[in-house]
This record gives sequence, structure tokens and C-alpha cells, in this order.
Amino acid sequence: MNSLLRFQLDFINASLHNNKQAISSLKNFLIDTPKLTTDTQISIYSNSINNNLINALSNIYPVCEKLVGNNFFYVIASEYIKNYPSASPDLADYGKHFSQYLSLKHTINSVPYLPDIAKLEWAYHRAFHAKNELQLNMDILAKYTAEQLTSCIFSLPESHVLLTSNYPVDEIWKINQTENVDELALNYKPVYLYLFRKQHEIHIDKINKIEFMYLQKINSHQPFLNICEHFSETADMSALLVKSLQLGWINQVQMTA
Amino acid sequence: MQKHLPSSAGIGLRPEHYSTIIDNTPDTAWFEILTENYMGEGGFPLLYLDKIRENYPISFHGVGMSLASADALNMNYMKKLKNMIKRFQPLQVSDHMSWVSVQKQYAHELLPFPYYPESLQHIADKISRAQDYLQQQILIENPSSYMLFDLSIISEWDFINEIIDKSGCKLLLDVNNIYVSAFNTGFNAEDYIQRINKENIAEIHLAGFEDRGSHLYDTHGTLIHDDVWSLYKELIHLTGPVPTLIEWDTDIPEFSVLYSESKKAQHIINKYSSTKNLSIV
Repeated sequence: MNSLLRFQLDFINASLHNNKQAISSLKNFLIDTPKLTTDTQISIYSNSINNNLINALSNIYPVCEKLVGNNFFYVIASEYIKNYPSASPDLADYGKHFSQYLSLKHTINSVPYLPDIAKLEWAYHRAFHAKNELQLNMDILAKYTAEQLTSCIFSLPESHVLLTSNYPVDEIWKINQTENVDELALNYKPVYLYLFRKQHEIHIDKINKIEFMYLQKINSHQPFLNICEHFSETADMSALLVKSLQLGWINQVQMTA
Repeated sequence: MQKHLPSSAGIGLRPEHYSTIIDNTPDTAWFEILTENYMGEGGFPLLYLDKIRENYPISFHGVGMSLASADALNMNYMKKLKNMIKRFQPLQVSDHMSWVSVQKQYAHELLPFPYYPESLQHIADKISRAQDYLQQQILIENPSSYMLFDLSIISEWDFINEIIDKSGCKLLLDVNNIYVSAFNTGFNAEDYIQRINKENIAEIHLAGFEDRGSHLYDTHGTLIHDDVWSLYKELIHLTGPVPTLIEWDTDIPEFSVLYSESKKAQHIINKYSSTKNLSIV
């Protein structure tokens, strides 16, 4: 292994993972400056790297941070960084597994909904940076016959995420967008949510269970007729289609042969 | 369309200032973006950048090329960068003489490395490959440093001069970084200014640092220090007018603060470029 690679691996393992052997090996590459010992030199970079990643998580998960407080968020984020190093040059890609990490490692009785809030914040963050998509041309769609419509395959925006939670995470998220949050009187019942970006606006729509299943089916890219058959007894499919078109839940249509 | 950045003062574009810039179109000569902030596939950042590009020349300043990493170039990153260059037509593209990643672990911090012949050749080769792929000359920025290496046998200015000779890139000289590194690692900042090859300088950065007692820390979050302004005057006296950026990355103030710093830089460009080769007042 060449000396540049050896040095860089020692540097990363020392500063990101606080690996004692790597710290000792890294110090062999360094000399004291008139003002800084080798230990101080390493800790300046180590603090800076960790703070950059913590700030990235803080920017993506501001409601999580608000719910647990800055100090505890710092502890959780520091642990996350050690377990999930960044693998992309784009800092906006960092933090994908935060919700999963919270649900596995941190059960916090006062905020049992924290992993679900993290899931919502990640979906919001990705939708913010998602590619721009054209809106469905309703004038063209209006000319289709009923038979043509049933043979169409509809698509959801690429930015979409379907979420469920046992807690009203949409309300918790919304209330925490303001500076001061009063005590919440939460109605702890499951919610179904559909998050998507319409032009530049991110929507978090509360939907019912049938709508949730219907959007899942739409996302399976089947002709609309198949989807209608699946829901034959349980839903008014015409009303569902009209609603999903009006609200922009669907943004593409493709005619099958 | 303009082919070169104006040799005037520009400002680092930050999301906090989008509305002010779009609504008031200030008389700023150019803006520089942090490339990675616009690498998403869509959304508001690109929408605002499109609007600002309509009225101003822009340059790209990245942190992700990881030129000093022992790894090869990340071609996914390079492809995104190339697409952005095609779309926004920046007048300059720069990155840093540092590394941010190794073996697919990203530190998101500009990290130092020892200056010796093998590292010099490695970086020069990577810069050449980057320029060949982008079909574009790039600029490399001198780092701010808090580390000193046993392996380093070449001064930073000689290292940079030679990398540029070998690769054909240009230099983005950050005067604040010179000042901070000089203080932290013990070289003379004025020697650096004298010995760096001035013909290679295609852009200058000015920013603020924080005094943390044992060391100066390059925060880009304060006004430019008087000593850095003095070094800048000395440099401009030697180079003549060079595109100069006011860089501010943390604790972002009102746009008017950056604007005022840019006017100060412009005043120096105007004053010292007209007295080039005369003694500094």
C-alpha cells in the first residue's frame, strides 16, 4: 500500500471512528507545529468532520432535533455517524438510514413517534431535491372514452412516498414548523400519508386506507381495469380516479395497446 | 456570451440571498455557487440558479472532486458536474487541493496531505484526467491547514507551482487560507505571496476566520480580517486585477454585509491595479 493511501486510511479511521491504532499510526506521519501538538491537529479535523455530518443531519431532521432537544440529538447523531459513514460526495445523500437507526437503537418513551417523524423528514428532503416533472394534461385526458381510461396505466410522481404511522406524524411535523410549540393534545390513531412534489410545492396529504392501497396499486403499473377489479366491491373507482387527478396524485398516463 | 469572469469582485451565492438578488438585481459583477448544492435532480435550488444565471456570470466552486485522494476520480460525480457545466455554462470551474474521501468513505471536510514528489505527481495526473473528461480547464484552491507532516519535503507554493506546470490547470488563491495556514503551521504569509507564481492566479478568495486561541480556524463566518485585507492589497499590487470572491459559508448575514465587503475588494482592485508596479501606499 502506498504511503498516501496508508495515511488517508489512518486519517479516516482516526477521525471518523476514533480508532486508537489508527490514531497512533497517523501520529507517525505528523510533527508538532509551533502552536499545535499532533493530538490537537488530529482533534481539530476530527471535530470538524463530525460537526459537518451532525449539521447535515440537523438540517435534514429539524423536527426530530426539536423533539429530543439539541443535546440529545447531538448524542444520537454522533452515534449514527460512527455506524453509517457517508458514501457520497453529495451531503444531501447523507442520513438515509436515520429513521431505521432510531427505531433499532433509541426507544424514547416520551417521543415514540420519533422514527416515523424521521421517515417523513427524509421523504420531504428527497422530494425537495427530486427531478422536476411535468403535470398531467387534463385536457387530453378529458377526451378519453371510459373504455380508453380503463386501459391506461397511470403513474405517481417520482418524488412520492406512501407512509403509515400509528401516530399523527403529519400533525406533529406541521405544528413543529413554528417556533413555539404548546403541549400537544394528540389523537393517537394510525394515519396514512401521501407525500409528493407538485411542481415546486411539497404536499403531505392525509389519506384513508382505501386511498393508500389504491395508490400502492397505481404504483404497480397495471392497467386501470386490473386495479378496478381488485377494488371491485370496496371502492368507488371513478371517484378515486377523479380525486387523484384533481389533487395531482397521479402525474403520468400511458395508453396500453 | 462572456467567456471569462470579470476581473472584479464577486459574491458567493447562498440560498438566504436568492430573493434579494432576484428581486433587486444588485450591481454585483458575478456570483459563485457551491457546486454540490445544485447537484440534485430538480427543485428550488436549480430554479433559483436558472433565474440568477439569466442576469449574472457564474462560476462553480466544488468540494467533491477529492483531487488529493489516493482513490481514482469518482466518475458519477464527474458526470453530474459535466452535465451541470453544460446546463449553466459557468465561466470558471474550481475545486480544492485536498481530499475529502478515501475508499468510498466521505469526510465532507477538506483534508490535508503531505507534499512530496509522489503525491505531487498523483494529483497532477488526477487534475489532467479531470480536465480531459470535463473538456475544461479547472482551478485548484490552496488549502487552509492545521497539520504539519514529517513526509512533506516541498513547500506549499512550490508544490502548487509545479502541479500547475504539470497539469495545465490554474490557481484559485485563497488569501485567508494563506494567512490561517501561516499562523497555524509556521510559515511566512508574505513569502508565500512572493513565491507563488502570479501568472497562474485566475481567481482570489477572501473570507473570515475565527481566533480559537491555539489556532486560527477558517470558518468563512465573519468579516475579513484587516491582516487578510493587507495581504490582498499586496497581492493585487503584484497581479493587477483578478476576479475576487467574497466567501461566506456559516452564520450567513444579510446580503448587504457581503455586498459591502465586495465593494471594499473592488475599491482595492481599482486602486492598486492602477498603481501596479508602484510602491504600495
